[in-house]
Amino acid sequence: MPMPSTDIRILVVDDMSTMRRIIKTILNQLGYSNIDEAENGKQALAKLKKERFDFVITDWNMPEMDGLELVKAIRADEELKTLPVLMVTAEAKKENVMEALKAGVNNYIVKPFTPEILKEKMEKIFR
Amino acid sequence: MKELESIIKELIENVRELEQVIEGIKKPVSESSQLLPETTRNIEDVMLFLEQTSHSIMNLLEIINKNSEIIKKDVEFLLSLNPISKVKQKLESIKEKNNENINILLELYTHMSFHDLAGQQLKLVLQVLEKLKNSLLDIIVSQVTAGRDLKEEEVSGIKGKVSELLSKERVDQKDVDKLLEEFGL
Repeated sequence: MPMPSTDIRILVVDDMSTMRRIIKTILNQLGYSNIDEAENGKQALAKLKKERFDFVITDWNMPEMDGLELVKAIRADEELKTLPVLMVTAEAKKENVMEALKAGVNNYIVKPFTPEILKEKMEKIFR
Repeated sequence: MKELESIIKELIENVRELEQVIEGIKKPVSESSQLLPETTRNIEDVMLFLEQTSHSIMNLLEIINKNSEIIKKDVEFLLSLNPISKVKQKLESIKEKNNENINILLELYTHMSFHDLAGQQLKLVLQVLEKLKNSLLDIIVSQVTAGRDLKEEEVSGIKGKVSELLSKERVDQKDVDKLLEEFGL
């Protein structure tokens, strides 16, 4: 399955600075370098409305605006509603996955994850 | 005279009751006002320490990763010079081991998410502490307001004052006395 072009612009949203760094490093290893970051959903939404992004990777539990609210806001926005969103979270219960899917995430990864898993999910989202 | 005596007796009994209420409140208020914020601060310190250490480890991993990339390029360059078979064999081995190291580094990176997972558990502990603080607050307020005909605003005022006290890092006896004075105790 082909991976999305390495030119795509990715927004990584997580309140933990270490987690943002881990995701960015893994993305770099996969060949992606056009990456920006946000600390919570509110900050992410402001960036998404201001700049163009092709893909969002977001955590669930964050202060101010969590990942679920962010996904709902993206899906409710005419300009952003088709933006692919991957949720990377520690929430591993079946109902959490269902809730996220209902809100409109394109795929779901449970932390901790390997680069292979991220690659596989990205391939599925962009196929 | 007997009437006065019974009034005085009743007054003494009331004072004693109030003294017990004061003593009952003073201890949990002063103890909790020290323990809860102290524990919260300790947990926040652990979270900060975890974050700083994780970044330090990742800085080192990045240096190792950069070195591995340099080794990879250099080995490829040396292989492109068509060395003699024995040297070529050794270079191929170095290349293989170096690639192995790069993969291990990436794996180490993913394990660094322990910080995030531990942090989330610690956040849950902080939430429990906050709940404990509120439960304690309710107990203290109900103790203070028991048997008194207070309006809702007065009860919420008392709750606010006790909460203020519980969120302070440390309180001394003066703070507790001032608070009790405000309650009319």
